[in-house]
Amino acid sequence: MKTLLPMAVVAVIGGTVYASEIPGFTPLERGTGAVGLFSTPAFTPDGGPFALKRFESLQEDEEVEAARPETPVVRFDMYTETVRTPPLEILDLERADFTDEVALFDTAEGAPAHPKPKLLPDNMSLMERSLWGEGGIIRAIGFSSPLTPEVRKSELALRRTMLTIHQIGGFATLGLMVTAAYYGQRYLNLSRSHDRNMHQTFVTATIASYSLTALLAILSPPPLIRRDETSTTTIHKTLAWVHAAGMIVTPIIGTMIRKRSGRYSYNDLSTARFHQVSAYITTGVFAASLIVITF
Amino acid sequence: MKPYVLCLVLLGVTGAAAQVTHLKQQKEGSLMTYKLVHPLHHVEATSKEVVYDVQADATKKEIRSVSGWVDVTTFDSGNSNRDSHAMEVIDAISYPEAKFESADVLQRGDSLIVKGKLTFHGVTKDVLALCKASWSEGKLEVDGGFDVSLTAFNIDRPSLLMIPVEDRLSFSLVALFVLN
Repeated sequence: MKTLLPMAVVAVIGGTVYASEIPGFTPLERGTGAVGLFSTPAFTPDGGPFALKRFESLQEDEEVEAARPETPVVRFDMYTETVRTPPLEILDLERADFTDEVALFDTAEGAPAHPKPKLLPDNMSLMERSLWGEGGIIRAIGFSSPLTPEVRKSELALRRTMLTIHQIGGFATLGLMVTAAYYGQRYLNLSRSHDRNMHQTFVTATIASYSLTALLAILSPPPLIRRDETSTTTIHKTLAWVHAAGMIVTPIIGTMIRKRSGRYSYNDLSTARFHQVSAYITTGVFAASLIVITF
Repeated sequence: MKPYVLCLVLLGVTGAAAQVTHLKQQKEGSLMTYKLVHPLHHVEATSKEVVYDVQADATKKEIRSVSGWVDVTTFDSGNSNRDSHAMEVIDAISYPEAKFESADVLQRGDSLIVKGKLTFHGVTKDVLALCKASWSEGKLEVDGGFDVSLTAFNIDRPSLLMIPVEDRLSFSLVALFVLN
C-alpha cells in the first residue's frame, strides 16, 4: 500500500500532463489539470458530436456532479480562451457558443473535419434558382440529375464551357457590331444601297450573335461561390443591362427611319441621328463590358 | 525505496515533456494568402479561416512542429466569380481542404526552414517553407511562405481570355499565437 499510493499519485499527475501533449488528441481532449482528466471520458476519440450529448447526460449524473472540483482551470488549446468557471458549466458547449469550434473537428481522428462545400450558392438569381436549383426546371425535365456532388461537378464543367463560348461570342459580337456601325455610318454619309444592305446584314448577324452570347451566360449553371460584392464581374453585369437596352432600342429606331424620294425628312433625320447615337453608345458600352472583365 | 526513485524519474520525464506545448492560435490576424500571376494581372486571395498548430518550447523560443489546415472555399480574392472558377479548377467539391504537416523544422535564430508535406487537390508533395518567428511579450507571430507548381499537383492552369496563368502558385502565411 505504501508503494502503490505514491505510484497512483504520480500516474494521475503524469498522465494528466502527458495527455495534454499527445499529438492527435483534439484540443478538447487536451484539457489540462484535474478537469482535463475528468473531462476526457466525455470526449473520447470515438465521441464526435455524440460526446456532447453524453456529456450533457453526465451533467445530470449526481455522482459526477459530486466529484467535480470547485474552482478548476480549464484550457482548450488553440481554440478557446482560458476560463475560470466551474467545468461542467464551461463544457456546456452550446451555451458557451463553442459550436463552430466543435464543428471544425473530426473527433474520431483528432483532426479538423472534412469541410463539405455548398453545392449551390446561397444567393442565386431568379433564373438560376428556377433552372438549376434543387427543384429547378432542368432537373424536373430530366436534363440534369438530382443534385449530388458528381452532378454538380459536371454542371460546373458545363458552366465553364458555356462561359468560354460566351467570351468568344462576346468578341465575335463586338466585331460584327463595329462592322454594322461602319456600314451604317457609310450609308448615312453616302446613301449607297450596297452600304445599306451590308449594314442590315451585319445588324442581323449582330443580333443573332448577341442573343446567343447572352443566352449562354443567362442559362449557365450557377457558380460554386457567389458573395455580395462589387467586382469587375458585377460591373460587367451592370453594363450588360445598358447594352441590352441599347440592343433593343437601336434596331427598333432603325426600322422607323424612312427615306422618301431619295431624301430624308426632318423627322427621319432626327430619328436617324437618334439611331446613330444609340448604336455608338451601345457599341461603346458593349466594348467596355468586355474590357472590364479582363481586370 | 526503489518505487520512489521510479516516481521521481517519471515526474522528471513528464515534466520535461510538458515544456513543449501546443500554442493557442489567435484567429484574428492569422491568415493565408495565395498569389497567382496572369499576364494581364495578378490575383491574390486570402483566407482568414485557416487553422494553424504549432508545438513549441516557449521558454527556449524553439518551434518543434508546424501544421496548417484550410478550407479552400474560404479564399476570397474580392471577386467571387473568379474564386468560383478557381474552385472549379482545383475541384473543391472533391478536395475541399488543403493541409500541411511539418516533418522537420530547422531553426536559426528567428528564421525557420520548415520541411513538410502539403496535401492539396488530393495530391501530397514535399514542400519547403521559409518562415520567420517573432517572439514578443505573450505572443508569437510566424510569417512565411512557400511556392508550389500547379501542374505538380495535377491542376490544370486556369485561363482568362484563353491565356493560362503562370504555373507557380505562391502561398504566404501569417500565424499568430498567444503564449500562455
